[in-house]
Amino acid sequence: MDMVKTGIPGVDEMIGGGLQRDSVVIVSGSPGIGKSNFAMEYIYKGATEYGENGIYLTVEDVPKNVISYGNAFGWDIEKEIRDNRIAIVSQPIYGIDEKSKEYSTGETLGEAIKRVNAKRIVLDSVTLFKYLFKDDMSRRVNLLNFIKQVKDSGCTTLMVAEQHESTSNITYLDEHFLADGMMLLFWSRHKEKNERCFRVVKMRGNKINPDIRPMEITDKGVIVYPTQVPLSLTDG
Amino acid sequence: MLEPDDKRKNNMSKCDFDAGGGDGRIIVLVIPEHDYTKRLMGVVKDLTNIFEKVCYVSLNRPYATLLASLKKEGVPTEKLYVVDAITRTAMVPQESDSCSYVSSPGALTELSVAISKVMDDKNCNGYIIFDSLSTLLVYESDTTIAKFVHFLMAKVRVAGCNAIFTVLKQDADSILVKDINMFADKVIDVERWTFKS
Repeated sequence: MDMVKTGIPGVDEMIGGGLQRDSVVIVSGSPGIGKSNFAMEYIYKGATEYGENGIYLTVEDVPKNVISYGNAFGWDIEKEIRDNRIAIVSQPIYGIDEKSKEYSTGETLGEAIKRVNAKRIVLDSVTLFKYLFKDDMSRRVNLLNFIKQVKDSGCTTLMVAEQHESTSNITYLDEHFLADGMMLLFWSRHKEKNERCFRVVKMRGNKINPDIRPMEITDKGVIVYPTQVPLSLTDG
Repeated sequence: MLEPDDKRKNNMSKCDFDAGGGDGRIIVLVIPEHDYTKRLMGVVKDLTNIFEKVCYVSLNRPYATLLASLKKEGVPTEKLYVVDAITRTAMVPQESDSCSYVSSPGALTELSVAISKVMDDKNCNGYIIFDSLSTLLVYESDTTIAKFVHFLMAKVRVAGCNAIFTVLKQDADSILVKDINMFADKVIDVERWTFKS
């Protein structure tokens, strides 16, 4: 089976070996949990370890910031951009004014896919992407169009989504049903400690580990520990 | 130093520790409060004489203080790797090749990850000394600690490592220790040992 390795330590073991090629998977999680780091690591590892170029499509940030987030983990994103292995496409949604034009990279997703021969895409975030459209119907239609476009392009896509609930109480949204897979990142609180946790909610076609596992953001990136348990979730 | 076998009242010998390496032996060591440190130092010294690598998980003393005390006792500290769960409660420590820092004694997942890394990365087929279960009792409930220790013991056995969990004599009758005794291979009351001064 043709699997796309995320390259994020521990994640591929949890999702049954990797992502299905051409699939679209949601990375959903609470604010500050590390969703964007997770998504950037997927793009960076793809370009540097698996020979799969990638595009980071942001609708809420500017390329300079995205690059700096990667630098914090020792990832030289600028070099990968110069070498045409990574492209950052910025299409800010906050109003069509001069400022947002300034932040926009001007390149469309389709153009960037062709230019770098991309095999991986990140959309950060699908939550804000939906605000580009006025009503539920057009949101759903455009989301479906986006998913169709990236699947047709032969890319394997992660869509970052905001999720405020904990693991036991998820409000499922359109994108959760439309996507092929869903990974949930959330905080677990025990006394004064907050721990990052990881859970695979679904991954079509894969045999997943559905249990909750601890996740950490280290100085080298995200790590999920498939053989550890988050002891903050222990009763008692 | 521990006395030879014939001086002991409880069949204690270095064979209690010497599992031949990679045997997955787990011992609960009950130590009296009044000379806890002295007794524990003796055990560490013995273990470092037998094994090439010993991992010391400290929930009580910061790495720097611990190292100074062990050196004073003549322990070959180059054989030690320390997991320190104290220093970071007070300051941001400098990185060290022979120590990893955990944010607090109550950070059980972090502790488990740090100890597992030692077993994986440092090729520690000697002993892990966990100092102590009594300290954990300050931070967590019996049930949580019992689950943590059971989980950790399984990891130790699977890795073919050996471990000593220390507990103060005053806690020896706690529900926790009674539960953990069931998981362990041996419970040793060091008060029955005789020590050379």
